[in-house]
Amino acid sequence: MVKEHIISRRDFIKVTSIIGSGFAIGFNSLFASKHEVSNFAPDTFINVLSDDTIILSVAKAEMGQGIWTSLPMLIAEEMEASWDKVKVVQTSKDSFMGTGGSMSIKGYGWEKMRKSGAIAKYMLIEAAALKWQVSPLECDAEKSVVIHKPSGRNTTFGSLVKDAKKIKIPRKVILKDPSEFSLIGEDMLRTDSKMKVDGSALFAMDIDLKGMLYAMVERPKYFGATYKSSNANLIKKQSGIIDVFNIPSGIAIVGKNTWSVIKARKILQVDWQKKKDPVNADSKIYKSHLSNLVNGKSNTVKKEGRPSKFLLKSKKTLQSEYYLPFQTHAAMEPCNCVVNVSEKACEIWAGTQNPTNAISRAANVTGLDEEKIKLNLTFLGGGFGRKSFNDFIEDGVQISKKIKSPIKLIYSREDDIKHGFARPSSIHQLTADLNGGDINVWKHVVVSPDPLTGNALNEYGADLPGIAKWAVNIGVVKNKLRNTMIADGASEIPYNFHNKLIKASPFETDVPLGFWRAVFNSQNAFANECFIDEIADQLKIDPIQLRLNHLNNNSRPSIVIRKVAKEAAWESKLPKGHFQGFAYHHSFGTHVAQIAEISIDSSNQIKVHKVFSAVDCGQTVNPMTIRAQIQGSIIFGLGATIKSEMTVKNGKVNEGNFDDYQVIRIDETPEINVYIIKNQENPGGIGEPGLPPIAPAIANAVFAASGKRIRKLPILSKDLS
Amino acid sequence: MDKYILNINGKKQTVSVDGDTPLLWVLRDELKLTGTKFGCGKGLCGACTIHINGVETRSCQTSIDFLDDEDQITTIEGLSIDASHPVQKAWVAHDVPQCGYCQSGQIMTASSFLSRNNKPNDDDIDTAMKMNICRCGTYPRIKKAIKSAAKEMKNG
Repeated sequence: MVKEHIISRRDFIKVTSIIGSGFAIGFNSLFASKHEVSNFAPDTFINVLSDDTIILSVAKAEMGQGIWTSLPMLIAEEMEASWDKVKVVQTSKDSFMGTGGSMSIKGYGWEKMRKSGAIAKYMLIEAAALKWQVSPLECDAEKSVVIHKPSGRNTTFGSLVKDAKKIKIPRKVILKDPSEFSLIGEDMLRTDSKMKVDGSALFAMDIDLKGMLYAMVERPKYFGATYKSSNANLIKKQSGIIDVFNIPSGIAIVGKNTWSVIKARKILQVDWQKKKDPVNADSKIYKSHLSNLVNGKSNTVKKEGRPSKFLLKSKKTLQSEYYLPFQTHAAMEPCNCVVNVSEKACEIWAGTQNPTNAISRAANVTGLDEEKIKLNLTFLGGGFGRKSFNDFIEDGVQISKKIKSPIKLIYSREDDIKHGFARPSSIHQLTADLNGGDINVWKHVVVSPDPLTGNALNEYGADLPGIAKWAVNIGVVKNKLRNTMIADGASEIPYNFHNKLIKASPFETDVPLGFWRAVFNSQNAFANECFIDEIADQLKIDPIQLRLNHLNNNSRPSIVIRKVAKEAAWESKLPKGHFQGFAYHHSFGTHVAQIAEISIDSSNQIKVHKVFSAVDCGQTVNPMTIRAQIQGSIIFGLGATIKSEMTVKNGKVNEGNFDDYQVIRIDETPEINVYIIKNQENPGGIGEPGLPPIAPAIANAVFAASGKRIRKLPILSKDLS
Repeated sequence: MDKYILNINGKKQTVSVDGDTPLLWVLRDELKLTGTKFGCGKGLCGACTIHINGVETRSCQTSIDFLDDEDQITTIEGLSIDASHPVQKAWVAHDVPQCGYCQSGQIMTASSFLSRNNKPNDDDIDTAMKMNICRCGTYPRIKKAIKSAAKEMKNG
């Protein structure tokens, strides 16, 4: 079926010529019209040069998720561009939507990139037809060549750039039918690998400006503490130190090189005035508050059937509570930026998931109009949600403004771990009415602060309105109301129980909170999928069968579940001492089912041998990336399942580096097998959905191995003794 | 501040820095060799790994005082011309990098380790590589890439 896609005037589009004699197509976005073109990035998505090179610009931040490959693939597919002629560059334009929520393909590229490719192809064909005085309907494009089918005449895209510029932008384009795809759905190697193996890929920390100084910030030791006094005068006299001064987030130390700053900081002494009456700023107090709220008042997020009535008169109920700790992101690249504020302008180099917000914050600090702020988006050395908060960029702007010089601001690893925006710690109370030998009522009460909780955000410079708008716009959170977003991943549980009740109980805390890979899905999936296993055990039914009993036979969840069960040979004989556990979760438009195979040694150490993961993310773009993202999500989630935990004591984070915030290393990495379900459903996200099932799959395997129910993470050997 | 002569990627370089400055910051701030990354500052993550006389070394834990101009320092920029080292080629062929931040360190560790053992089994790889953290979780592909690089190094 041929479907015409309307080109809206608001989205599109201008034809320009910015590189030599090139033919270029760009979007007429709000952002593009307001901000200056970045030096090393054109403002257009497609540039065809007369030597046939096609430069495709990526407006999303590349933080490892492979967007530098998958977005250009979408353009090249519709444009019929020859992939080996494609060069990819970063643009900071049109990135007002930010990067996160596994939305770069799903909510952005799938439509927009394909349409832009189709427009380019249309214009190139029109140009050739005009030149040849033939009907464009008789022409087609393939591998960067336009062909006149009846005569066999052909010419390369590069030869058409001058003529194509004169063609009017079409009002409608026809996108390819999936059966015609030649790039989309194929394994394509990343376009950014070479520069990432020879050291030439530029992260913000690698930017060097003439006369640049180096800075770090000593932040309050306790959440919400204020500055009283310090030995700053002594620090100023240290070798290599240029200045020491206060900025809103702490004390800035500026020096001639990084080492001078690190050394001076070691002898810096600051007296901090602790906040009076800190709010739930200690893991113990916080945890007891969580427990108190479980049975207190909560908001109803979803209700189906008559759950309360059935629970009241139920003769057979099962209830369990699950606890999850704080987690921090610990991206390999600590937060950093390079900033140059002058009287008339401000230029920033940063890896941020939220450029619009960074620009507006820089405008606020400098008093400059937003048009005078130029943001150069660099590669991110991992984001995982942390880099949607631009506190580090604001600090850089504050320092450069004060010292009147270009500066490079870096966080130490300790700054990065102690002053991040953590995944909230949460408690989940699950209750089921098992009357009649099946799940009659499913009730889930989620108790957690949400990351947009006022205390933390307003005090630590996370800019609540800016972040909230970003999170909702790009789909990081699904439930729009602050008091219900903590139920993301709890309220959309796909099993068709007759009676469902999902409640949420948010609260305030001084612990700075944020979005951590998969956001609330990581917590809620753990509770959902551990509890359904507990029920299966009660009902003496196979846990996978119980789930399938509550799903339509040919539904997407039941297909991924059956696929992984088959591939992992569920219920078949395993090596001695090996046990399997299963979990399924749907998030960001993608269905994922996983089976973990583990053993527990005599010192109660869990060893995860294998993970099988079936994935249905709809129409695939680059399966190579999908497998990488599922593997990466599993390994990231595995750390939070068996190793890492961020704890808070007396208003400060205890952990500081990779010695006490332990993450997964290569020797703890299981063999991971990924099975991609092929269909033509709309593309789902892929950066996050692989994470939620791993914790419950392992917890369920631990039960199989030891008979111990896991209701708290991480699962440490002391919990199994 | 003192003057130091260093032999980096086959070139003599002179820098004026404090003697306790870690090589990491000499490379990054003074010589602008930014392929070597700062990750933890404590020798825990391996992002700053370079070679000294062919042996993988944490540059964040190596003060410039401890080096002399005889020591051959190799950074990712000097590992090969045009990313042609078998480990770099295998990294590209197996699509290893994600965010890429840790990969210079991973490659420097792997290339040094493979020069001593070109027939590694899984345990050898684990032991050699476990000091290098990757938060993106590229470990499965690192393992595959090391095995194929080992083959090429053995044959080549």
